[in-house]
Amino acid sequence: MGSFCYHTFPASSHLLVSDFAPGFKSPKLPYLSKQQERWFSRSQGASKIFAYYGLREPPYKLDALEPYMSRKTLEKHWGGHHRNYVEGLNKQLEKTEVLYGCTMDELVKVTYNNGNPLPEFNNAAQVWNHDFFWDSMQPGGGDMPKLGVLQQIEKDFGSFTNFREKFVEAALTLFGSGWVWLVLKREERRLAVIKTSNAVCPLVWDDIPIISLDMWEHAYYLDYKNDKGKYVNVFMDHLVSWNVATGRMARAEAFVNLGEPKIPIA
Amino acid sequence: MRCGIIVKDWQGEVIAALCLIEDAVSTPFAAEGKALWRAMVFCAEIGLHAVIKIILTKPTTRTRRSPPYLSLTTFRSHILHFPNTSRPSFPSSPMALRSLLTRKTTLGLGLRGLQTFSLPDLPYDYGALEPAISGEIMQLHHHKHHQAYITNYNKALEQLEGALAKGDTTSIVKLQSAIKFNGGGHINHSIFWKNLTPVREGGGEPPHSSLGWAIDTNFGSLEVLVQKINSEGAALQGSGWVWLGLDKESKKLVVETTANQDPLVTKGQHLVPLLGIDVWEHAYYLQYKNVRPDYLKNIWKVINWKYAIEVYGKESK
Repeated sequence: MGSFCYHTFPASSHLLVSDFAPGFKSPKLPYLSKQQERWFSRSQGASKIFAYYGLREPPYKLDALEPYMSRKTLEKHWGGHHRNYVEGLNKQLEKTEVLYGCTMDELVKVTYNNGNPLPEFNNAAQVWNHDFFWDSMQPGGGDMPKLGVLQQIEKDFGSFTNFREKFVEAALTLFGSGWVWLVLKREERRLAVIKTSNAVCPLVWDDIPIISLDMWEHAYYLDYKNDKGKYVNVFMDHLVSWNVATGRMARAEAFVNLGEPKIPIA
Repeated sequence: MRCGIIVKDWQGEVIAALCLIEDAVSTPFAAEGKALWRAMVFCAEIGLHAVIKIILTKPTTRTRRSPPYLSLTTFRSHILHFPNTSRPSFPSSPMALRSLLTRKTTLGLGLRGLQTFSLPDLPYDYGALEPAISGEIMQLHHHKHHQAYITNYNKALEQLEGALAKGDTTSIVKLQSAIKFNGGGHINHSIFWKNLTPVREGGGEPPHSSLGWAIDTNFGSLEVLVQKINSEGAALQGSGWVWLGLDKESKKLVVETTANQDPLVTKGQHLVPLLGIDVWEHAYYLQYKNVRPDYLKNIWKVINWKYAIEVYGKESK
């Protein structure tokens, strides 16, 4: 996923910045929309900077999560819904001048506007949420978390079973569309299970999400129809990627002081 | 006739018994019915909450020639609840009684005066709205989703009753969101089923008379109204409903959207729903996948304007 820009940015964002200074040739990028290709082929004129977001692929093939999440669901969910959010966001960003140059995280926080979301919030947040969601799953996932994550879960929930119960309960008692998250709360310095409606994500409260589960009906309807319980249990048993969670926890610990590390005595 | 009633709990232990002599009846069939009825009344009298199974022994008629015989007839009834306010009136015939017992839905008569709600029947087959809405969607939507709302609504109401009796304000307030969600789901879907009708029964026929005229006045034309509803429905983020409502105070027609299962009154206390379209994903996903605008375009072919006209006529007086 190559991209050109003047500023450095963390690798997790998928910002594509195109600039038309003379003599500047950028490589052919994948998933470039027709419009972006037109911009590139235009002769050098104005050096206006446009920011566009691209659709990132999940880190596995679309049929890799069978039989727990069918290829058809992934095609419709990623290729349909997620893609629509990205394209919708790009269309909205064309009209406004204030909002580009942000990383995805910043864009979500800015458009949330402290509870009074701007029209771009829905698309931006959903793009972020879905990227996070695809990363939160892996083929051959499920099972138990290991080491640091497990320790932290046991510290904050008592046991892994207790956490799992809380997670499933939150998923099943969510009214309408939304997401269920395992977050690391910055202020309280502990893990918690939270549920959010529609497009809201814990970034807006400055918390650090570790795992997410999409409870919008489009995420499970094709596979499980209205059987939410089965979907959530399958996610916890077979899909959730604790490896990614470990990575995210490790990164989160750089920002949140969770206490002294347990150094084994030799 | 002589009637014997034995009441057992779910583990089979006998908890009550009754022997009595009733007035003579003309046929064994009537005797069966009367005994059954007396048993139900007896259960209500001793304060039973629910009866799961009633087993009748066939009435014996003694004649000089044949020995008496017994056979078991089991009436499988789903949970029966009994009212406590008044003695239930005798149904007109034993056949009515049998059909009462074998109905698949719960009878909706609470023991403590608490009414429980039941799934209303669809006035058409699941597949009757094809190809606008597939039979699979209709079946899941009605039999699973709507039923789940009703079940959870009843559960929340029961919990509310308990909390009210104890004066537990925290629980009373905590239950409000569940009641709003599930109760709203029940209200909205009950209206929705009446808003739809198969093409052969007038589905999709544009409205005439007072409502047609009101639409032209308020929106210009039916096409404009349909466009407005479709665009608002497509733009709705997440789950919700899009409504054509009548504002009883200003006598104007309005197009409104509500989130999740909020009923139309949450947008204005004087609003009466005439037409509601469910834009939750479960209402269209299996057939239209993520193309909600197609669903909205096609649903107009099965919209029951006659019902909307009825409601409009009643509420605009």
